[in-house]
Amino acid sequence: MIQIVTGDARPIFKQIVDGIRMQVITGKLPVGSKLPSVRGLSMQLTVNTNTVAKAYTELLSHGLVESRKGLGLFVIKPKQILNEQEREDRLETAVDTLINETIGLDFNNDEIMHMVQSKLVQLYDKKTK
Amino acid sequence: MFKLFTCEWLRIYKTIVIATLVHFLILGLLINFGFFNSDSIGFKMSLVLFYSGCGFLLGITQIKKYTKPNQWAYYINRPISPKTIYLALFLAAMTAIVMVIVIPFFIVTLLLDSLNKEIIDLRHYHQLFYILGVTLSFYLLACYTTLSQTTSSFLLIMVILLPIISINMGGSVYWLLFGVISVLFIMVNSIIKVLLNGQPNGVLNRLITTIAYQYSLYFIITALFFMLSEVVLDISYKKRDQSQEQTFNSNRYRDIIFFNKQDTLITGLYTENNQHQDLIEEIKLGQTDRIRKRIWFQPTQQQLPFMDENKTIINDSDNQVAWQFSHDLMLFVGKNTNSRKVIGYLGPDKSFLDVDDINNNQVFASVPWVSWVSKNQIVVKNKIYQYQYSQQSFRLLFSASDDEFLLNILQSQGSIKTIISNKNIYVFDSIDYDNDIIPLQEQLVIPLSDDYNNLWDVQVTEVIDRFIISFLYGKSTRHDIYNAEQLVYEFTLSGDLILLNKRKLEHSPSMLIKDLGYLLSPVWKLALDYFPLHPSRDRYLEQRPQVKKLPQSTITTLILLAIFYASFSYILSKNRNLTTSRKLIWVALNTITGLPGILSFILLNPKKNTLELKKFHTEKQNGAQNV
Amino acid sequence: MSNYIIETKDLWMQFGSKVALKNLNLCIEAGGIHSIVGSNGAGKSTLFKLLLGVNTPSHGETYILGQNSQKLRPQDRGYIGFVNEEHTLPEWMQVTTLITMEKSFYPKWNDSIYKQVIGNFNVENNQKINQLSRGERAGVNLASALAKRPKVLILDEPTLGLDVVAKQAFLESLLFTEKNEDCTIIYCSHQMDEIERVTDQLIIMEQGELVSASTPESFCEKIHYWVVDYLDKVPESHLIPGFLQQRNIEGEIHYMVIDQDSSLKELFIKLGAQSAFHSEVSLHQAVNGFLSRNHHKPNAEEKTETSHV
Repeated sequence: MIQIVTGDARPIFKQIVDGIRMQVITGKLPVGSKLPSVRGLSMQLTVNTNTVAKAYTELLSHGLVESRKGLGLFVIKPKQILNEQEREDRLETAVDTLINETIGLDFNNDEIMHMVQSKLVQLYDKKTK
Repeated sequence: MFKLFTCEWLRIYKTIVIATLVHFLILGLLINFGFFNSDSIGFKMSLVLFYSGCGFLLGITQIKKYTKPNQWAYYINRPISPKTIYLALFLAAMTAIVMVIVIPFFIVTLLLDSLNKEIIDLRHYHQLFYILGVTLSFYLLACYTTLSQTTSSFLLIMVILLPIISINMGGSVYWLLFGVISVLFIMVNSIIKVLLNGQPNGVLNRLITTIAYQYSLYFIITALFFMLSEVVLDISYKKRDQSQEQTFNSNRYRDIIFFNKQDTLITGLYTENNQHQDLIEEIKLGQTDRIRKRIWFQPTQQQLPFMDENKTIINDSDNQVAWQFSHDLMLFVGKNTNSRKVIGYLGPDKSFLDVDDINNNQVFASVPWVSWVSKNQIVVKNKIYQYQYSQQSFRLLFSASDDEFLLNILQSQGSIKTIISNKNIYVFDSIDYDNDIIPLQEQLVIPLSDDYNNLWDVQVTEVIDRFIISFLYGKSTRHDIYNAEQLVYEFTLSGDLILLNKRKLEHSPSMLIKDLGYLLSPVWKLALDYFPLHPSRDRYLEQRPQVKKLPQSTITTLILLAIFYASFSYILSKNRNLTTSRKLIWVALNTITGLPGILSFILLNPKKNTLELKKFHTEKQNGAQNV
Repeated sequence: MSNYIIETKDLWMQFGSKVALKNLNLCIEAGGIHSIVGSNGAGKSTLFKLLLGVNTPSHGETYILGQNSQKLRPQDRGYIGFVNEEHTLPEWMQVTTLITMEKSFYPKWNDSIYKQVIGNFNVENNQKINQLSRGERAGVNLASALAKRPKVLILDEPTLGLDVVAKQAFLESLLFTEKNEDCTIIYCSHQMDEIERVTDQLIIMEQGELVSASTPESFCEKIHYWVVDYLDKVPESHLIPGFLQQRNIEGEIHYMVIDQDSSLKELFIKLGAQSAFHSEVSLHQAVNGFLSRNHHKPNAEEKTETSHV
């Protein structure tokens, strides 16, 4: 179940995109499963249908889902749409965010790295299950 | 529209029901304490004003409720035109007035009629329309004043007062009332729009509103000027020297009217050469009496009960009968004071037991006027009848000619009796009356030398074998009669009449007041003179004020004033939001509408707020950023 | 005439000496939900009154549904819905009587829509309007507004004072009830969480002027939050480009700036900072920071803000 929060730094449609991506990654939405309809998800979250539509459009452009005529959107195995440079930039941005958020908290590098590692391990475990 | 009517009705019906019951209660109390159908005009007018006040209150509360910004937005954001909304409100208000005021009044009148507790004529029923009309007018006025949100709109109360003060018009007052209601309704309708700014839309509506305002203003201004001139005259008189010995010389009308009866008479005899000094000394030794005018207007058949000066009742306590006049029958109806049963009918010549026996020439030709003073004399236009307690019928005391009407009952002044009519004074020997020589034959007829409306007072005194009578004229400035004079005659009972002295008196409305109407507003003065919309209380005024030829000086002043009015209007119009054509029309019309025109121009066209405009243009030039 | 569903041209509105609306040029296209946000006194209610023709502009024109607001005919008004904060309704009427009256005015009334929306609120038909709670009244108001199938629906702070349940019911009804194609909704509120949920376009008004019109995301992206730790003295705010506001929190200066990128960090260092970190902001923070920028002028010499949006 995707949750969205108002007052978050991320706009709602981004939260939906991230939420679905999380669900795909953790396996809650396996490949081949159907996404809820735009209207359905809007009603679930009480948001504007255009916002959900925007999120779904972004998911389409990321190659995470595909549209099957008359049936809806389905999760697919993500194709590599981004090139190397774009992937690097994205990674760097994400790491910058991590550092910004944590630098003032007085952790040392090892503690941060440890956390990153354990999270990745958790994810991998879930993926393979 | 019907749904809106129901909506408004649902809002007010609870209040209406309670108010109706309260009104029934009040009427019941009034009847119980004998106030209903009371004589007192003051009481009756208070009742009318009370109803009017209720109508006014209804208008204010209703409009205030609906034009609160949020409420108004609710109604006009629907595919309904504002005029339809108001029509629904108006009909609901009218229904409310009928239910609360008219119906209880009607039922009570019906009860009194069927239970024969009072004499109820047709006029008691058609006064309901009058009450409805006046209340509705006040309701409409309240709507207009609340919608226009200006204090000046209260001036329009003059328009409503017109049918109120004209209720001696008889039947035609209903046409007048209907006209007033229509005008007010049109005015309210013209300012009820989506944008409630109090400005009527459309040429015809603006014209009607302007006319209503100018009508009200004309009367108010004229009255104010008149009162002002009276004050100025009083002050100017007080400033002049006045020693006591000179009193009798006084040739100022305004002084003489304050003299006592004897002094007034004596002043009339003043001549340069003191010709009548001996006579004056004689008069001082005797007693002077007045001949009074009392009847201000003759009652008309089926006139509104509000206009009854007093109850046309003759009480015969010896025979335990009370005779009350009925307009329906044009007869006096006699009721036993104990049993309240009808015992008979009284015509001018004889009495009847059964109403069916009577034909049309046996009833009274016009409604009698019953005197407070003498309990058994009645005046019927040009005749005086006296009720005989012994015979329980009338006898004719005196009959003047058919084109006259009497101004009082038989009056006593020493050894003579007099009757005053609108044309003559009839003098009788008291002995004839005492000896019951009836109908009375006059010893002498003294014709009035001027319009009776201009007659202030008559004094008469007896000196040895003859009588001296003085007439003081000068009252009637409102009928454009400005001369003041005093005439003194000497007469005997054998029919001799000699004019002793005639003095022209100083009665000085200046030229300003004399043609005040024309100076203030030529067109309104002409219109109101030419079209007598508001009959004076003297319904029998034979000469309507004629459109007279004005003196050259007045005409010159008029032209100068016209230029002044036009220029002043032009200057005023600079500051106001009007198209050029409308400005020109106003300027042109104001030359002939005068001061009411200018005032209505100011009141109906709000100023442009120049301060606002300046700031607005500065802000614009500073340039806010455009996205 | 106008091609937009709502348009204002050089609109000025003045009450006495107070200017309520200044040179407003607003164009709203048909369809979608447009939110208007602004502090109290920004002129939103005045704008609605002018759009509906209840007031006359001091200067300029307003158009709604292609018609000049001052010349709206009764039949045009049949396509406009207006829901205000107080949910003004004839409070003496019963709900059923009121709805019967409304139905009679609108031949296109869709009763199933009414029933659907009113079903989200707990309204008994026999109650009088003045016996309903605020939330229930809001429900009746919204239900009848939607049942009329308007082409434009204007809502002026409709959820103010509504409890959590009523608010949810209101938003759901607004978002998910069947509407006309191209039905345009103008939503005016102070509640940023609602705005975030419902809006397609964000319009910001301030002291009678239009200061921003864009999607909520693009507005947020313009505004950044910087946390800066200065070694020594705190520099004057006019030295910071795109300055909106600053706060001193436990020794660190928290800035909000507009239209700047991450290279601002170098400027901070030059001005004597030992660290500077920036982050994105939520819509709430962005709007708040933007609107409160005039309140934090540290010195009088500060020139008029040159920030463009």
